[in-house]
Amino acid sequence: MADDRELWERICSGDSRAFEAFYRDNAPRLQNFLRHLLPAGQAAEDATQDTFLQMWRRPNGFRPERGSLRAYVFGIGRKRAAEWWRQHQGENQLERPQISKERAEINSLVGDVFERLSVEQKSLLWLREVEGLSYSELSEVLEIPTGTVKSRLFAAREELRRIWHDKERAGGKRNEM
Amino acid sequence: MKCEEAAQLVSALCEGDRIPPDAARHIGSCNECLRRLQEYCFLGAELRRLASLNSTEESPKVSWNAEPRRRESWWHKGTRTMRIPRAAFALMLAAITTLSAGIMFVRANEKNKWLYFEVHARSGPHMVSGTIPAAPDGISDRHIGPFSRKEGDGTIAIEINFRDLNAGMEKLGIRTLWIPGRVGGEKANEQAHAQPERELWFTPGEMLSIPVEGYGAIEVTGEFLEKLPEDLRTGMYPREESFRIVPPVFCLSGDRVLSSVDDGGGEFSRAEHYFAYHSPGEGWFLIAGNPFEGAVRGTVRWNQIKFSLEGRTYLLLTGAPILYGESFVWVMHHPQFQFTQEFPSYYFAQAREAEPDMTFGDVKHLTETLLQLKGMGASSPRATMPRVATH
Repeated sequence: MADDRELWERICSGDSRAFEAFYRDNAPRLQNFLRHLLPAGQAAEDATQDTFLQMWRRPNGFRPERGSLRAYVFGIGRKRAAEWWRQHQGENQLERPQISKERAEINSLVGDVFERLSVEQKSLLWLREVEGLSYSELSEVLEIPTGTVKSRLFAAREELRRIWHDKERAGGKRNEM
Repeated sequence: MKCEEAAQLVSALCEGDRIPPDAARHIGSCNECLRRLQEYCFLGAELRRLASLNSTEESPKVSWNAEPRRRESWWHKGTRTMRIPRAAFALMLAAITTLSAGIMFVRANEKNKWLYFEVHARSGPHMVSGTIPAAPDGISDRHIGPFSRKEGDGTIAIEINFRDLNAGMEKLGIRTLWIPGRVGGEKANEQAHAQPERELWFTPGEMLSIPVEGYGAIEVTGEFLEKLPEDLRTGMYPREESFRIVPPVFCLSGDRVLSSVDDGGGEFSRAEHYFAYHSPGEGWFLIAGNPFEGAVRGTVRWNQIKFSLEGRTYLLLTGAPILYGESFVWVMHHPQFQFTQEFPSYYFAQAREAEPDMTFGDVKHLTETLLQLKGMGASSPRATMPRVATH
């Protein structure tokens, strides 16, 4: 946390080297996350760049006592994704069911199942299971109380499991356990 | 307690949260809850695997202006994003990966345990990537796909088996298929899987171009790694030379839950330590990462340790992944094993026969004590061991 505080101060003072290092370490991860929230194509890359650009040009809002800088940047990224959907609500309705379908096909059955969750549930599970954010960080990123984080994590896991079972019953291949 | 009430606590278990004792007891004795726990763990591990397959994301190289709030950075003028040539991007990405993860890329030798690979479509886009053991170990899955990618004029589907490692080269068994026009991904995968396998040799550090009839060529690149990339673990897996036991730990035989332990746990060296689990009525199961005399071979995968002893199969199920990937373990059953000051464990076990327990210890003490016990005439683990007085 102390490192994050120092890094944040350097970013706020316009230290481009510090920010570039932070970008290098975190942009690929953020983009990987956003690719599951946005349609295939350029949207995730755009949202990733917008996130870092916003952080670089208007560095404010990060509170080290509430979580890591990485969690903070994922929070901005998630808002960018939500903004994207708001802006494209009318014109992309037909595209929405095809979110990352191509990606799901190249990955795994679980990847395919994961794509069927709601954007909120995908965000929550990804940030917890893959990025390893803590309850308090998730609470900060998703702007919900910690207790709600726990209950929604349970709901997301249960939904993922339900879809997985449905897919299995429908003839999908299940990984051996 | 009912399963519906316990379900949310199963999710909490996955998080490493403490849960009420009555809930732990219910989960430990309820097949439905155990299955839920197992599936939550499995799905979480699969998500992390999915992320690792896509861990090399494309992020354009940008130059950050030293005075961000006074003037716009050059790349932002006129457009909100910047595109760079693929070749330049590939170089940048390699540099980022090397610098940020601190990975040492070297040719295959006994030190290089991992192979990082990427598969690219004909015009350069990343299709899939991953990190697998550099050589077959008899247990790890070194098989990718089939997976497919839809392009404007058709679908390319690929399946790769990393068959063998020889003289620093990976022997690949590859199936490919280009299907012009529209076709579903699953159908393309099925058809690709039915294709004859081609054998090709891939030298990590170099690019392998694989021609596909009617399509062009896909490219495979990759490097050997000495260490598992830190960013792949993301804190969810233990260090690669370690096993990690996160409670609750359930001991099952067949479809029966024998016992469970809901506290303790820890991370231990595969080479230097052992893990011991006590199940009432069964005795101790001594588990180590390397072979030791009298032990049988078992497997570790995800959050499960499986082994067969004396005609029975056992499963130890833990609350989180024990390791990244798969591995063998060696297991010995001692019905009346005792931990003493002469045979210390890290958490001195005061196991009573009626209570489940687990502990960790130094494998050299294990070996020494087993030899002593053998000298006392107790050569078979099944033999009644002389009880060693506890101090």
